[in-house]
Amino acid sequence: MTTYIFRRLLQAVPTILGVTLITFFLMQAAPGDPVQILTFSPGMKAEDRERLRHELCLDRPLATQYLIWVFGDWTGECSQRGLIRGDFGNSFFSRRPVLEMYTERIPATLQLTTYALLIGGALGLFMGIISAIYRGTAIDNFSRFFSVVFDALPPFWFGILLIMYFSVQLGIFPVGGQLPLNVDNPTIADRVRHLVLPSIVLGVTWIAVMSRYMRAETLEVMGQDYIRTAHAKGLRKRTVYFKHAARNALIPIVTILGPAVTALLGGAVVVERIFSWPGIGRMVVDAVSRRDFPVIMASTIIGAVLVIFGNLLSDILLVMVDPRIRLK
Amino acid sequence: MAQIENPARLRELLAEEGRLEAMVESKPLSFWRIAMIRLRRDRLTLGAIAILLIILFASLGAEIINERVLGVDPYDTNLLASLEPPSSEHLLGTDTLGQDQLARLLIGGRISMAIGFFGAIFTLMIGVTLGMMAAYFGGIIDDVIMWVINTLNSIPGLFLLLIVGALFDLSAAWLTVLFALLGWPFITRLVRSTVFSLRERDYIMASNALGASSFSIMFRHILPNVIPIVIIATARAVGNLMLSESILSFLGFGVQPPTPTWGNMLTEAQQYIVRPDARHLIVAPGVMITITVLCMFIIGDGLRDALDPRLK
Repeated sequence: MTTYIFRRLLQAVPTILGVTLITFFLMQAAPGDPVQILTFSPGMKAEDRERLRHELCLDRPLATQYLIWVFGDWTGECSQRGLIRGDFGNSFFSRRPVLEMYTERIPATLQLTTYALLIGGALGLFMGIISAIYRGTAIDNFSRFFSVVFDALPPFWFGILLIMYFSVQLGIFPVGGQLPLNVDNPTIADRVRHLVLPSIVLGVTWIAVMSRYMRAETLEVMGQDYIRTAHAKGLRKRTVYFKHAARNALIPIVTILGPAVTALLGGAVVVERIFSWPGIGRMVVDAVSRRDFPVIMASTIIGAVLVIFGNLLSDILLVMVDPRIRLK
Repeated sequence: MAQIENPARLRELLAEEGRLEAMVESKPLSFWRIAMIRLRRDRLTLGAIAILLIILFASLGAEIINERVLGVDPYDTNLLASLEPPSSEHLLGTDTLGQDQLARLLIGGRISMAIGFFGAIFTLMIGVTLGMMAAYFGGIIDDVIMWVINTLNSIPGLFLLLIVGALFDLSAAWLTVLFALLGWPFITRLVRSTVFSLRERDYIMASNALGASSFSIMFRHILPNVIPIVIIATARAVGNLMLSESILSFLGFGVQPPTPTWGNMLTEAQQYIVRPDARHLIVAPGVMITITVLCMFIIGDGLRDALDPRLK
């Protein structure tokens, strides 16, 4: 197992390298001079600007700049320690270390995505099993149609509709934010109320994905001999479906968790924007619109690291829950 | 060629088509003919195609409809008539600037759909070419292509889309190209793995034994069998691209106003979330996106059932 994990991590190196290359050269190609954005004062003298450029190592050849950005500065003239030491630079606007800004925001995004996955997963899996049990009936057709509809629904529009109805008209849930602004010690009820709408919006797409997978897997499992045996033993139908069939059908679902990280991070961008949720999604949108280059560059790299870990984790989980699979 | 699972069922289908005699005396039905027969019996898919065609033609003929039927100019602003609810004069009401919403929806649909369709076609062209190349040449070319795919796949798609869209200030045409440049990996993977599995089939071994060149095997024997899978993937891609476009426009980094798209119409509408009198601005564009994308997905599923019954 350890060798397997080690090899997977080693395989991730070229991928991360590719991500840094894409990110770096994308930023180089983008219009806008970082020094100009950073200083933002037209009265600044040209020589000061040059000095700043030199301090930031922006006057070096491109290849050198890239290497400094990744491995840190070996000349000692600029203070970058490099990505490999966790130095993503400082934000152009808050002037704070980018990594610190991310670690501060990740818990909020994680909270949102966890609840979204729980809601989407629970409902989706249940719908998938029901769909498979009642295959070909109206229940099955309804649940399949429902899952396509939720696939086609633009998430931001769904969010706006929910706010319009539940927050503005009925006033049950807050319009946005993670915590009430006017309360010093928010209760658990306050927190939950703020979580409900955003996690539903983010979770709904997962109902569709999960139910489709679960339906296919359950149908596959139900054709197996041990299910016939269970029926023949005279077990109650519910026991056979939920205890014998569903458990084994769940195994391949673990493989979705990897891709789920990518999709959830993408979805978080939209949901955090609509509900003013203080996570990394909103930070990235803000950074992009202000051209805060260091924060933007960190987003793809941190995103990629999370995705690679998600994939690795789901593969390891798969081996753990399914003894039939052996590591190669 | 495709095998129909159950001969009795096929005969039934053919009899309905009134083609049984024709089949007996002439050559057997082609794969595409059988697919058409299956598709023609799928009412849900046919309905989706009909609705999509209506939306498509209404958008293509937007100018004519706006001028002759509705009698309004989608870019004509009138601040005195701002945020009007639906009425006989403005069937879907007006927006902040007093512009007719229905007229703008029609124009906006054209851009949203053009991005979806052309984006999918570009994606398809890049994806199939690279997929065939990876499988055909193998070795280092395959490795490089797979490396790029792994790299692109590990970056959350929306992040990359957002960054490029925002930093480069793209027009609708360049946005379409961007979607293709970021979206090809899934088609390439599909084509590559299909080619790999097809290569092991007996009929390929047979053409090898007959002395066919690997180039001719690739393009005459393998490519035609890849096409059905690619068509199915493309139908879904159109829907997904339209969704992505609307998300990007909604976040403010897609096509910019005054050019209307369904996505950026919602951005403008979002500020009226607390005003009941502006509800029509929030509901209408979203309904249009949902219906169109839904039709694309249903058509994709229908094509899957028609072209590849094994995938069901």
